[in-house]
Amino acid sequence: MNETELNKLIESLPNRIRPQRDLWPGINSRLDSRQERPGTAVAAPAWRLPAMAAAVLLALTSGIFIGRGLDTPPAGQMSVLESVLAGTMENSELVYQAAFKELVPLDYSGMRLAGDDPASVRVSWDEMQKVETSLLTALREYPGNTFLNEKLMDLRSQQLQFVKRLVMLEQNNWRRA
Amino acid sequence: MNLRRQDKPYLSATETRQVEKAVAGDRHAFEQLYRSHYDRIYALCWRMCGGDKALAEDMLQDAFVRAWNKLHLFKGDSKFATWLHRLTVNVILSDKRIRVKRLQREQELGDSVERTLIGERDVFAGLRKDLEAAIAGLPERARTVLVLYDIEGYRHAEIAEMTGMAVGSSKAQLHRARKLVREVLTGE
Repeated sequence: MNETELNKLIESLPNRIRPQRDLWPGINSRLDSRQERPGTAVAAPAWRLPAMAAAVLLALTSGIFIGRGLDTPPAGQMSVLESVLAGTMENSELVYQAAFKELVPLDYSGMRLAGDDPASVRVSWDEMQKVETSLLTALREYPGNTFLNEKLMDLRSQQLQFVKRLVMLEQNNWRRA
Repeated sequence: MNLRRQDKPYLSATETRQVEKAVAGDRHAFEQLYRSHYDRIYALCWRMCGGDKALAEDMLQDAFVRAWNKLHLFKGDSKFATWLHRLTVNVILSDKRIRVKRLQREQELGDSVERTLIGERDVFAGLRKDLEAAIAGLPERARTVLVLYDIEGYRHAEIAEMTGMAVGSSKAQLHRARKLVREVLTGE
C-alpha cells in the first residue's frame, strides 16, 4: 500500500461515530450539581468566609473594648481619646453584628465541608449565638461585671477559632475538589 | 486549524442562539449543542483512546462538562465546533488514564466500527475496519499525531502546541505511525 492509497483510505474514515448509549443524562447530572451560572457557582463562600473571619477578629477586638467600655465613667468625665475609643468600639460591634447576621443564614449544607457534618456545624454555631445573646443581655443589666466581660471575650475567641476552622475546612475541600 | 474535515464553515444563527442561551445557564440549549456535536466528538475520543469505548465515553462526558464550565469564555471568534473540538483534545491529552491504558489494552473494535454513519457496502468497508484496528494499536504518541493530523485536520504546529512535543517530533511520529499502519494493513 502506497502513500496515496493510505491517504485515500484515511479520508474515507467516518468522522462521526455514535456511542452505544445516550451519554447526555450523565453529562446533565453533572451539570445539575451547579446551582448558578457557569463560573459563579461557588465563588461566594470562598470570599465570604475569610470576610467572616475578619469580621469576627474585629468583633473580638470590639468585645474587649466593649467589656471595658461598659465600665467607663460618665460621658462628662471621658477624655477625647476615650470618646473616640468608645465610638470605635460601638462601630466595631455594629460591624460584627452585621457580619454575624449574614453568617447565620448561610447554608452550610452547600459548603461541602469534608469531615464535618453540616448539621453539627450549624448546631455549634447556633449554640454560640445563644450564649452570646445571653451574655449581651446580662451585660446590659450588669455592665461592670468582670466575670460576664471575661466570658464574652472567651466567646469571641471561640467564635474566631470556629470561623477560622470553617475557612480551613472549606479551603481543604477546594483543594481536593 | 485546517478545516478540511470540519463541519460547517460558519456558526449558524441557531447555534449562536444556543450558545448564548447555554452561556446564560440554559441546559436545554446546551443539550441541543450536545446533540449536534456528540458523534463527531465521540469519534475523536474513540480514536484518541485507541478504540476503548468506556474511556471514550468518559472523555466525551468530561469534555462536555468542561465545555459547560468554560462556555462563557467562548467569544464566537471561531466556530463552536472548532472550539469544542480543541477543548476535547485538551481533555483527552490531559487524562492520564489513556497513557496507562496503552500498556494493558486488548481492544474490541468490531461493534463500534460497524456502527459508523457511513454504509457498509462500499469497497473500503473491510479496509476501514482494519485501518481503525491498526490505528488503535499504534503507540500512544504516534496514534495521537495520526488522528489529529490525518483524520482531524490539525497542523503539525497545532499538534505540537497541544501535546507539548516539537514540530519535528510531530512529523516524525506521523511518519512512524503511517509506516506502522501500512505494515499492519499489508501484513508485513
